[in-house]
Amino acid sequence: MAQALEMGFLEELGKKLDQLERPDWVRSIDTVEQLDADDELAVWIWIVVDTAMPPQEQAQLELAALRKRIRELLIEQAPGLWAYVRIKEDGDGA
Amino acid sequence: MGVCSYKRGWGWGLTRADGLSLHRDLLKQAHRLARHEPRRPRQASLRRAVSTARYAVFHLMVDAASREIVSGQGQEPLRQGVRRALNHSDMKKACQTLVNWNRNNPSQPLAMMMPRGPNTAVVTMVSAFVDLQQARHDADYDLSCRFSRADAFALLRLADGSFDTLHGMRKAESSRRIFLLTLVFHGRWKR
Repeated sequence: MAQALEMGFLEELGKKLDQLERPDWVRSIDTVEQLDADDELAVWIWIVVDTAMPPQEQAQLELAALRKRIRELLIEQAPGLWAYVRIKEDGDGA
Repeated sequence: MGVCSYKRGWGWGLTRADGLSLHRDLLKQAHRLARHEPRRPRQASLRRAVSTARYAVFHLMVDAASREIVSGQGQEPLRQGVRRALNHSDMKKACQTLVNWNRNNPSQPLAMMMPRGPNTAVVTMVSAFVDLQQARHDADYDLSCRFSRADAFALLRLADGSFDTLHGMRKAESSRRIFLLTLVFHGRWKR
């Protein structure tokens, strides 16, 4: 059964994510806690990008690097917690 | 199975040639779908791209695991039996055990087989599998979320990475063998 995360955990994680180096066209990095498809508690980390992004090939390289930095931060800050890292455009609901 | 099978004997409706290249074809198809409608991609195309990428990785791993357990020519029916024993949920749990490896309290009996824990190549593949499994679920069932093309491409990149990583590992490499056997037996090892 999924257990709730400690109070303030996401807020703290969000602050640390905000400090990560990221391209200018990444507007923010948002965190949401919810159950995944297997009813396990997980965190979604949404990389919110500007609609005016560089060409996909370049953007994808930079996003892959950012994803790597996010994963490294998670391993350090929250070992054992699974986070789905996804990308959405600014203004999209998710 | 029955209804989808157009060529008896191989199951899942696959001819020998299809069975050997299904995962590659699925990955190519996922890329085509993600690039469809260059200006304003339809959600249907992006969602199918993500879902197809996830199936490509699933079939890549299932195929490799079945070949790890049953090698040699003329053994396709046996390999088919192994493929049918694999299921998405157990594979995801196996992948999560590997990706959430706790060096202070490692999962047994995996810790005996890989005392140093999973290597970077294995972590790359299992992370991609778990990410794609959830994304596939969102793409197929969650109409409240909207896929961007950047998101679809990023997920496809994970699938590409799984292919490159698995193909880059030597077949005799112990981490590759343990990973593939974990996909099949993890649930039973935990009993």
